[in-house]
Amino acid sequence: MTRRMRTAAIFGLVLLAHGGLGALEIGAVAPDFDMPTLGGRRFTLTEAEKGHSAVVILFISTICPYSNYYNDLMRDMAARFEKKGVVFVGVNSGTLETADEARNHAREHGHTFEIIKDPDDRIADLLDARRTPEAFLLDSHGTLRYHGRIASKLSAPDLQTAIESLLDGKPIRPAETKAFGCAIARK
Amino acid sequence: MRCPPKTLAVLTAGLVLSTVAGAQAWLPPKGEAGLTFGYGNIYSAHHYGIGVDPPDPSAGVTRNQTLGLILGYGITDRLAMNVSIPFVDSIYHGTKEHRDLNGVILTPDDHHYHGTFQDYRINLGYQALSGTVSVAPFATVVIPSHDYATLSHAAPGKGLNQLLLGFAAGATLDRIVPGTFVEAYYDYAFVEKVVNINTNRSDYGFQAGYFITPTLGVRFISAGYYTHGGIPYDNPKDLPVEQYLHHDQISKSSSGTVGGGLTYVLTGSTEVSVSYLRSIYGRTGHAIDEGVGFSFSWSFSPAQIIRRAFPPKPVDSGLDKR
Repeated sequence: MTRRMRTAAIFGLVLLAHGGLGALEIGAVAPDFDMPTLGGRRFTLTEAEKGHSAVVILFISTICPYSNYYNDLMRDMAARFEKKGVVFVGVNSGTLETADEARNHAREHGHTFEIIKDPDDRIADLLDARRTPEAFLLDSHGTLRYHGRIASKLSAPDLQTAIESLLDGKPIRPAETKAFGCAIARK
Repeated sequence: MRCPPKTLAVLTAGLVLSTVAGAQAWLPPKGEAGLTFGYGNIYSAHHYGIGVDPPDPSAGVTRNQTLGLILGYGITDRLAMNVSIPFVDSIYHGTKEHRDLNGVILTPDDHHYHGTFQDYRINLGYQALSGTVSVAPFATVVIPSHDYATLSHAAPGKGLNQLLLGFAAGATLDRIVPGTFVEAYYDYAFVEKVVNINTNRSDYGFQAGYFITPTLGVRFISAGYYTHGGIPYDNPKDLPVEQYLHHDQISKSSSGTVGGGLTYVLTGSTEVSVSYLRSIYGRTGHAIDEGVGFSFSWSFSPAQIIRRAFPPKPVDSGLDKR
């Protein structure tokens, strides 16, 4: 391998290593949104932040296998951390699934947290969410503290670790992981 | 004349397919499908003898290319299957061609590339344990796609029906070094007898990986096999004619390879990987001097694809209907 080829290869690897992550950076303040939930209430992000230690926004799907794989974990984490002042909200973006399906799915899997149907991808666009499942952890100031997968295929409990670290006032490591799963289909 | 019983094509197919088409400690969830396209290119400059002899440089010199297509699906959250079929294209450049009983060089060793489909592999894995430590027993059936040539340096495969029973185990080492994992597999292969000779085999592999970034991972890879049965020989012409005509299929052989690889997660449902392997020991088989593999994997949900083709109507407002 020539020196030029080696340099190009290293440059390419560096580009690959740093590319492809979401537009909302860790440490940035998430934009506010206000949407009706499937439970008939309104969910305003800034209001949720004020009243809780943290807000977890989960982009989920009723038909994505990877999202469904974490149904029980999402249910358990929401119940566990609700007692510690963390609010979970699910977002079902796109038009592939109806609100009725999202509502029935939540009921079927015991998801007691609020679900927002986001047919126009408004919330997905605001946060630049690309996958289901994909998690955004915000602190009480709306600052993005963790973004990425719920847990890896290798069973690292990334979101759980991130919430625990945030509540304990410890640094979150890793603060960003690659969300894997199904693409959120944009119009 | 020493002849390699374990054709290079088998090793190349392994380079392309082994880590994705068979032993996996972490299986996909229910409803998830995966499509992997792989390419492997192995160059062998020599092959091993039966004992401690140094590799024979005049008999090897084979290049083998393999294209592999693997389709996988999660039947349940614990049960997954995949099927694969490699296309093998190989050429022999050495000076010790395989010949028939009349001394005529056999077609695969005629110094031209010959390509053909090799063996179907149908694998069923069960996620017995998942978590920090994951264990998945598996069964793989190997069925030759057709009656291809099996006697030659450049033969595409062994052409034998096989049943592999084994398990894969993996563990995350996040508590020690974040982003690291190890995975290993072992299987015992029940191989169709040839001229009434048992060539059952053990296959094994190990890999250790580390994610440098959320999207870029590096791996150390090691794999090998050991034939429990088979016939050890130095010169196949010393064998009875019946065995000579099948000596590539019935020899007692073993191999060990090590290498490394890089994996890059492109989009969260697609990833590419490259790997490099080389032999560190062997017995009566081709040595891998340069083995390079490339693969592209795409995981998808058939249910979502169907939904995109036939979207639900109407899409409601999301307001409560209770």
